[in-house]
Amino acid sequence: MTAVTFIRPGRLLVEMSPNNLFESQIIPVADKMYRFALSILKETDSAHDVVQECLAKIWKNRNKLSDIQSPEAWAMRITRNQCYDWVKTNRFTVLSENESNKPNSDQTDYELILADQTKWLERVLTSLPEKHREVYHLREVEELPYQDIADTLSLSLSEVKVCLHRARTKIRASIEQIEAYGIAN
Amino acid sequence: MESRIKELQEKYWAGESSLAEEAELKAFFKKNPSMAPEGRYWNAVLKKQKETPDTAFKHPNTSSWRSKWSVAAAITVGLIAAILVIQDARNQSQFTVEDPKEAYEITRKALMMVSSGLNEGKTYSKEIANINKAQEKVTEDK
Repeated sequence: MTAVTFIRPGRLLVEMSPNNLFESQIIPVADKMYRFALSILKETDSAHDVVQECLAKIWKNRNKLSDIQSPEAWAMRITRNQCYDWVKTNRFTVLSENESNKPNSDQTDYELILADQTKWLERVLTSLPEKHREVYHLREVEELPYQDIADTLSLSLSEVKVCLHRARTKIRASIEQIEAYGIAN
Repeated sequence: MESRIKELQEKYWAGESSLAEEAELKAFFKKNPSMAPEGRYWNAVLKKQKETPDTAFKHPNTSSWRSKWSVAAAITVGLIAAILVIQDARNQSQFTVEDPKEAYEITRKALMMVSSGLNEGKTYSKEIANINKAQEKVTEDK
């Protein structure tokens, strides 16, 4: 029998420093964190402030990054928690600001989709339960795998799939209604 | 191509599509924007993906270093100012003059310094008196 000798690589070659991990894993997802915060808070300045706080929080805990399986899902979970903390402390402000962002309720979905498709989608999403809305955003906008969505929202894989299917069904029903309305006119 | 897109759409709405298939659908609608309701839906999703903050995020590291540097700079400026004030106060020590001529000269210089300030005020008060006189004349003429 012949013995084979392996050379164990140095720790520095295998593992990145916490600072490098922060630069390579967290900074590139800052815009994703912002969009997710915006989908919850509906207010650009608040979403920006919340994400800035999250980045500071993650920076403080950057030593944990090497032990985390999906830093992106971790960053998204921190963003979500920070958003709901913000809503708790600024409840009144959020409600009053959301009112001003709402699309004109007199417009039908058909009229709204022709005028502003983003506002139409926003209206459909607002009618969904919170959990469905979050799953939808993480999958369609941020393109996260099911497992990462489950980790971010502390849900099981099957729950994620059910939420996404229900959100899509609701959107499809709205599209079909619009198509029927367009043909009728 | 059309049949492939239809197949992907069916999978998508049934909740059976993979991330790669969804990316294929998005790429198709990005290349071929449609004004039909479903095309508008995809346009809205693609638009949502492009949302970015108006102002870039500050790196948590640089911001803390900047604030540390500004605190250090403020402390240094404060210390220098304090040293200068203390040195100036020390220089203002008492002194005695034996020669009466020299004492007279020092007193004269000090009084001249005070009176120059008073004279400045005097010129302003003269101007104010002139204005008052003119105002009185105007009111008398009325």
